[in-house]
Amino acid sequence: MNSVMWYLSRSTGIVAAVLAVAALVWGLFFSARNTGTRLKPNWWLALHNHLGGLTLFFIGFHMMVSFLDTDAGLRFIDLFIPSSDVGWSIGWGVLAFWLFLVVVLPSIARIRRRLPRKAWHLVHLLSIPAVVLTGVHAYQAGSDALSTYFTRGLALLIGIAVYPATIRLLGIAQRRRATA
Amino acid sequence: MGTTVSIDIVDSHDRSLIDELVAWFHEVDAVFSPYKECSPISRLGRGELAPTDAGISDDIREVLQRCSELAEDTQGVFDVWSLPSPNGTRFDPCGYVKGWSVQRAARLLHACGLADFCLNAGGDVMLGGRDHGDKPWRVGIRHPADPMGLAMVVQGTGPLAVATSGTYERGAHIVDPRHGQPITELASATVIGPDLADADAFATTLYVMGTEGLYWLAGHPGYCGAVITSDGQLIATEEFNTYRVS
Amino acid sequence: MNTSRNPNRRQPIDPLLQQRRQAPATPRSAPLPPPTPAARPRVAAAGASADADARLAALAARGNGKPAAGAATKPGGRRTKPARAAKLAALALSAVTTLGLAGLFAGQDGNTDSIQLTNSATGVPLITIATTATTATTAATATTSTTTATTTAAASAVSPGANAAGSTTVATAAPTVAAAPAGVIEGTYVGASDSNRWGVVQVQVVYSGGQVSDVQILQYPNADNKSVRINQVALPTLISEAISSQTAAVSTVSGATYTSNSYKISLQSAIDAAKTASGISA
Repeated sequence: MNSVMWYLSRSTGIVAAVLAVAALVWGLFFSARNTGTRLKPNWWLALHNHLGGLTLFFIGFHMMVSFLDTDAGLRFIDLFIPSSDVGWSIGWGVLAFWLFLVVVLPSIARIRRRLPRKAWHLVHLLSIPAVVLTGVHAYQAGSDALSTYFTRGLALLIGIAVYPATIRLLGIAQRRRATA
Repeated sequence: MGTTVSIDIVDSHDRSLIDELVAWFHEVDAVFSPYKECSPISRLGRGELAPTDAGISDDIREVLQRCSELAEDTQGVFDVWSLPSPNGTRFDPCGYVKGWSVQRAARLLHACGLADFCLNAGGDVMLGGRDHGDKPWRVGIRHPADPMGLAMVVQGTGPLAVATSGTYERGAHIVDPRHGQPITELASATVIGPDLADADAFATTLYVMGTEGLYWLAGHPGYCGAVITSDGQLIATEEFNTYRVS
Repeated sequence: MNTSRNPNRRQPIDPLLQQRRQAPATPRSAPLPPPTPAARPRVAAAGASADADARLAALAARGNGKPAAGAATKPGGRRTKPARAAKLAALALSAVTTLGLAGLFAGQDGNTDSIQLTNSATGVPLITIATTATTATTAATATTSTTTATTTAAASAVSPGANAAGSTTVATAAPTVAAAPAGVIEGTYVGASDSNRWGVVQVQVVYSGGQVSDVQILQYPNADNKSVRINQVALPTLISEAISSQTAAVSTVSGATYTSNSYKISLQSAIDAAKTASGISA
């Protein structure tokens, strides 16, 4: 049973990471007005929100399965608080979880409407360190980190995240220059 | 605890310092000796005292704490709670206490401003600074079969600890706590590292684990080891070989 | 959703921003739906906050007659959801990928209970070596030459990924060798690479004189499974050599604990005596 949990822990982790990057990319495309004319902006936003929710769900699933895998040696509290007992390889993942939580929950419309936009936006930017920490966690804690497929896939994922982020930053810089 | 301590201090010092060290070792003996029925250790082993009782000194607590960490680190190989003890209980921290007491003695010497010394308690060596000729200390590792011969010589400057575990005179007295059988693969295991108490525990663990223990030890930065098998083969890691001179 | 052609389409697409720019003729055309993912975009577009309403009310008079133009609302309509197909696709894809990957990992895990050895030269299978993912007790009980684990040559055979530490003996580093069947041809036999949770194990056995003369582990387990940490420590290279008793000038001797009695006849006591004699304090 433990091995099943171990397989699931790895696969949910991978899927959650992919979802997180997808949500990030969708969000970046959306906010950079880089959505093209074929798909309406709301399609991007809707999917971005959906992916964000899915990410959170799969992260939760990943945490639960990792906990159930007794060979991993995680106590329940280790899921929520980084501890030197299990090391920072897990700790980064825990932090990423909290960051994602903080990014997604206030974006639920009911809560978002109550927040001043700047505050909400600032908090939402935490999604970027969250994705970075996800990558670090995947590399350090994953039993797969020694497989070349995995590392190459991870590198590809990071590349996919970096590309629109760069475009977005360039767009912001451009706009600043234009309005300056 | 039935062993002999050799003290070699390079710098000139007050004779009273030696007396202080001797007093320290006697105190350790009084507190930790499993041979004495009324020592706190024996009473702990029998369950008459609990580690949180007032009668347990901070030193004892420190030893117990480290021993429990080591039991987990070594996955049950170095487990002072599963060793038969002379006083009839199954609690014998002597393996840790010996090195720990020397480590403390070294700390005492450092506190007195003495950096160059060589302490040897029952085969556990703690080095400080350099030797009398201002050269690195040379430590011989006893040959498992020949009491007067050496298997190899290592050298280094302090602070450095060298600990060896093996059968030697007491016969196959080291049993693997996981199955209770005496160890047969290795004749001895030596560990070099910064702390003598840990090096001693690791040496015992390495001895029990066998050659693969060297891979386990590799996960402990700062410590390196070598083993001598029953058929006279020395297996050392590259890092250990940097200390060897012959 | 946004099917009506409207000139505002090229305007900034941030829904909140859209709110501020457009006439709030019917900004609340749809009642506020509960915050489900599907409804989020509409809420963002249609659920204007009160102050935005107030501010925009003034603009209404400016004669932008197209109510909620450009706002991604469908008055009264919750029928269509944006990106519905894509959302379902994402969900389905995630679920399928999770299960698929899990299945893939399960398939990768070989049968770790035994490793079939084949003669590296002829490819003839030989015996099965039982490997057990237990502790080093198997090393203690192994019969003939156990894992001397000399990796001088094998180090280069270790796969590049296995640089993480073999820091635990829980891994299968100690095969117990079954008795060699009679008439075993001398040679080197290599087992198929077998991977399990703790890493990849490949065993090489050398037969000479009808007996196992050497067992080597070619690839090593790599993870401390207890705590899912991967120690970034390279596997140490082990160097093996025969030793014989030697004499040398040393300051002290490290050995297994000697008793007070055995100390007297030990080398250490000789050294100490010599030191005392030469005036070195002790």
